[in-house]
This record gives sequence, structure tokens and C-alpha cells, in this order.
Amino acid sequence: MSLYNDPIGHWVVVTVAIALLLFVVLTATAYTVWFERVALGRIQRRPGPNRVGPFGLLQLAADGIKLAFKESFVPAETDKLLFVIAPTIAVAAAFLSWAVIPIGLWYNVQYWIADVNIGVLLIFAFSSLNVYAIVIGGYASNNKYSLLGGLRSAAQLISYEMALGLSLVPTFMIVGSLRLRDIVEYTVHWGWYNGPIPLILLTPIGFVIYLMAAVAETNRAPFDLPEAEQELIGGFLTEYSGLKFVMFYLAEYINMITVSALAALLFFGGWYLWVIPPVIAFFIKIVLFLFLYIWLRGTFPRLRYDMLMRLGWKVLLPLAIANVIVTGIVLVATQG
Amino acid sequence: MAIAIFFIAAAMAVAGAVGVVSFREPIRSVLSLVVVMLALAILFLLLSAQFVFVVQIIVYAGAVMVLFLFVIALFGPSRELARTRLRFQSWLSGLFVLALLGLIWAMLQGVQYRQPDKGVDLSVFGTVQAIAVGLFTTYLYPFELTSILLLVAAIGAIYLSRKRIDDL
Amino acid sequence: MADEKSSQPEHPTPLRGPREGVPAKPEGKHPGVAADVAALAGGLKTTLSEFFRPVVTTMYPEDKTVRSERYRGRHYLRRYDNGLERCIGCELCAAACPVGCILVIAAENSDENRVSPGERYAKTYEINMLRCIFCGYCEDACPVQAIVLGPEYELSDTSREKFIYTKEKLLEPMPPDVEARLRASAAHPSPLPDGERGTPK
Repeated sequence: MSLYNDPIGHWVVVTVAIALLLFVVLTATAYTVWFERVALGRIQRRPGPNRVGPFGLLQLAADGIKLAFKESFVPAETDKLLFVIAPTIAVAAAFLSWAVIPIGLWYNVQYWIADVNIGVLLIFAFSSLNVYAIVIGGYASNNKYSLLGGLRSAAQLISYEMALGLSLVPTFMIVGSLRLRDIVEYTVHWGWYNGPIPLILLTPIGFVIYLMAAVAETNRAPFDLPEAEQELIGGFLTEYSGLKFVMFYLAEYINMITVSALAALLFFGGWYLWVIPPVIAFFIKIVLFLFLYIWLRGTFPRLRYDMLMRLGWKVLLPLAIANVIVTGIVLVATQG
Repeated sequence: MAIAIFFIAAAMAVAGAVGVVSFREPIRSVLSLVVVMLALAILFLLLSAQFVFVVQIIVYAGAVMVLFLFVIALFGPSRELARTRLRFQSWLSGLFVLALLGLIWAMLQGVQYRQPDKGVDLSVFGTVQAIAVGLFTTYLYPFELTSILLLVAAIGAIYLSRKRIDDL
Repeated sequence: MADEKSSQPEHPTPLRGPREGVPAKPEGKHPGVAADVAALAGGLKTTLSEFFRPVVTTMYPEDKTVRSERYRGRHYLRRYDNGLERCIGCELCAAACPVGCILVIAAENSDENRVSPGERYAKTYEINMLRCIFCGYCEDACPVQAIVLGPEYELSDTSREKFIYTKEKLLEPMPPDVEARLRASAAHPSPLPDGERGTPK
């Protein structure tokens, strides 16, 4: 495409892509919340939101307006700057990941912002900044529950980041690249079959570890200890209300979509799905992963903190390391 | 473009460094240090060192500084104000800064700017693959020795901080 | 001595000292990883099957659940067939009310201004519906069956003043099923002693 090579055209394309992606991700987040409430309701045999708009689809608009008009509360005797910065970091870190997530390749047009060499590493780098939002939010709330929730969450994120990163290493070893596009377009030549395959066929254990670690990374049930209501009220969210709460909430759901998209890209062939158009195929895969998330939330009770840490350090991390070593041995044996 | 990004990142780094020493609240100092780390990461990226850029963020901003933050958060939001006022130290530090700047200026006088070496492909330089090849072939022994050193340090830290059953 | 012995707490699990360490786990077959995974899968299967079953929620403002025949909602003041009010201003309802939400101010009947058949009538009769707990003691206490509880339960309004139901509002014509309710209530024994509650004719 000549448009990409022209310096000014390149910037125009990137700017338009950023604006579009911002809009799409925000809308997707709103409907993820709607989808979660409806699906969770159905699991409990409730209808979920069904009053505002057809099928309750405008519920999020109503909630958003309500939250936007709430008082912007800041607790007394706190560092007000930090209190405001925390949700900003959360949203910024969540959005930044989408700069490198490839959505699809259709008629030689790429539906993403940047196709970088170190895509997956960048996503890890941005998601590691999310810890700051939670710890600072907990610290600046001047509330013991917030502080405990923030510290718990930080410990949880650090613990599971290792397993998450290591669970993907076999994939990188097989593909030989960190560029997300290369991973999606990884092709095999098995007898009569030439073409892209879902990499879960080659790294099933990596996928299982990724799935668990990703749920923990996004602070979702059953690993939602930072917001364990019974023990910590709302965790680091306790003192947040109005638009600042919306920002944390938004970040949580963007992260949820991000890890779903990563799972689709890294293990399920990204935008390749039979004859379905690429962007729609990618969308279908993300929705299925989101449903899995909601399904898990509707099924499993929350883990105890020591169980969480034991699972992360004593089960997932050794398993991930073993997976890396075994994959390395197999790769050396088969490819020489 | 690159020049503009360089000056923005450099200004961020300097402002963050000033913030580290001038903020009274320790948590703000830590966050200023994070800003320095991120600005340095951007500078690494401008030197086409992609891997160092990402590692700078993941390791320093994502892990090391979080531990600092942990310690300060565990102390609680009490104001860690200095008990005694600094008297002559500020003058002394100004003197040292001036001396250091003069030293740097003197060093820069002798620097010859030149193009990168011939034969270095800048599209490959600094990528994950290039660094991995370097680490696991040419510099394998130093790399492994460093990892052993880190392992020893980690075990030592665990040993020193463990709680003895007898003390309970 | 017996008291002292019984005040000792009984520990269901034996206490252990700081140096004894964690006791060995009781013998028995620990379920393996496969069994654990099967249990998790079982849970997921259950929730997924619930997902596809019909919703059981009653869509309230449109659909309403069946109300009991003896349901006690807002109050009404009754009249005799000749148009006279039943209430004789005796204030027994106000005395019986556990939350004190009824205010009755009585006045004398005269030949020119006859409101009720008795000597006196209620000049003011107000019920604070925000306080009312719908216990029905006022109805039980009334010797002339003047105050009864009707079937309505959707009493929401926009100001606190509107919840003080005045005599005019309470004298509004009753829905027809109040009579049916009175008969149904009469068929059940009253919690109050005999004679303190009238029965409908």
C-alpha cells in the first residue's frame, strides 16, 4: 500500500485508526458490560437489564449518565493528585495495549495501528503499569480496606505476570517471532495441509496456564480478591465514585477484552476462521472468550488468598517453566 | 520528529529526576522515579534498542519500582517529613551539580560524533533476536555467571529474612 | 465447682503449641487432579445448562404475583348504607396501633350536623402511611368496623406530606374485594382475645 509508505499519508492513517479504535474499544467495553450482565443473569435464571432500550441495550448509557452526574468525591486528608492519577493510569495502560493488537487483515488492509516487532512484549509492558493504578489508588484513598485491596492486587498481578509470560514462551519458540501478526500467520505444512493453524494444537498446556493467569491478571472472578466484598468492601475501589470509578471499571473491561483478543490471536488463529471474513471472525472469537470469562464468574466461588498464591507460585509457574523446557527439547529434536 | 520526541523524553527524565529529590512525600518521589524510567525507555527506543526499551519498562517500571511502592504503601500514608531542616546541604548539592555539569561539558569537548559502524543493520540492531544471539553465543559465560550471581543473591536474601521457628 | 467446669470452652480441634508444627494430614484418599478437574467441569456444566433454561423472573409492573385474599394494604374508612360514617371517634384504633401512626380528634354529633349514628364522630382522622406497618390491629380494635385495610400496596408518592392520608382520602369508595377480604379474615381466628373484634354481618 502506497498510502502507508507516504509519510503524511502514514500519519493520517494512524490518526484515523487511533480515533476509530478508541471509539470501537469504548463501545465494545460498554456492550461487554451489557453482555456480562445479561449472561450472568441468564446463568442465575434472571433476565438481566431489559428496561432501557430494546433488550436493555441502552442500560449502559443510562448508567454512564448517572455516574457522570454523581458528585466527584475525594476523601479528606489524602493526596488528591495521586487519587486522580490512579484511574488515569489504569485507563491509559488499558488502552495502550490496543495499539499493537492486530484485528484483521482484509483485502490487504490492516485493521490495526502498529505492526511492531515486539508486540507481545509491549502488551506485557503496558499491562505491568496497571499495578501502579491499583496500588496508588489504594494508597491515596486513605482507607485501610483500599490499601489492603491495592496491595493484594499488586501481589497477585506480580505473581501471575510471571506465569502469564512464561505460558506464552513456547508459542514464541515455535513461531520464532514476537510480532503478533507473524504468530497469527504461522503456517504449517502437514502432508496435504498448508496454511495457518490455531496454535493451541501445539501448545495446549500453555493455553491452560494462559487462561488461568489471564483471569488472575484482570482481577476477575474467581480471582477477584482485590475487590472481595466480604473482606475488603470494594478493595481499592471503595473510595472511588462517579467518573473516576467509571475509569477503573472501563480499564477492567478493556483489559478483559485485551486478554480475550490475545488468547484469540496467540492460540486460536486470530482472524482466520474458515470462510468467515477476518474482522468478524476475530470478533466472534473475542465474544466466545468473553463468554468464557462470564461463565467462570457465574460458576466458581472466589479463592482464598493463600490458595491463589499457592496456585500461582507452586502450580502454574513450575508448570509453565516445564512447558518451556519440554517445548525446547521437542523443538530441538524435531528441527535439529 | 525524533528530535522532538527526544527533547520531550529528556525533559521528562530531568523533571522526574528533580522530582525524586525535591518531593517531600516518598510516594511522589517513587512515582517521579517511574517517570524517569519511562522517559529513559523512550530514549532507548529512539536509539533503536527495542528490547532494552521493553525490558526497561517491564523490569524497572513494572517490577522494581512496584516493590518500592509496596514498601512505602506498607508504611502507610503518614507524612515522612524531615525532622531536621537541611542547612548547608542544599548549597553543597548545588556545588556538586555545577561541578558535575562542568565535568560533563569538559568531557563532551573531546567527543567525536560519527555515523554508526559500517555493516551494522539498524533494522536488526537491538531487536530481541539480535540480543538473544549475542547473549547465548558470544557472551554466554558472562550471562550464565550473572544469572548464578543473581540466584545466589536471591537465596541469600531469603536466608537472611527468614523467620526462625525458635524465635517464636 | 460444676459451674467452673462447664465454663471451660470445649475445643472441637485440639490446640497445638507454637513448636509442635502442623499436624500430619489425616489418612485417606485425596482426590487426584483428574477428579478436581472433573468437579470443576461439572460446575461449569451446571451453570451452562441453567443458562439455557427459561427465566423465572416476574416482570413486576407488567406481571404481578397472585395476592392473598387476606392481603392487608392501604386503609379505608367505611360508611353505612345510609351514607353515615361508621367511625364514632373512640380512638381505640389509635390506642391499638403499635407505631402510633393514627391520629383521631373526635367531635360531638348534633341533630343539625349528624355525621355518624353514635354520640361522637371523628372530626380529624389521619394515618401516616410512612409509619404504618400494615399489621391490621386498628381493624381488629375497631368496635364498629369503621377502619379496614384494602388490597392496594403500590403506595409510592413524591413527597412525605402526601403520605399522611386524611379523612377525605380514607373515605374514598372501597374496591369491591375488601368485603371478600373481611369475610375471609373472619373465617380465621383472631390473635386478640374474644370480643375485641367485630365480625361482619
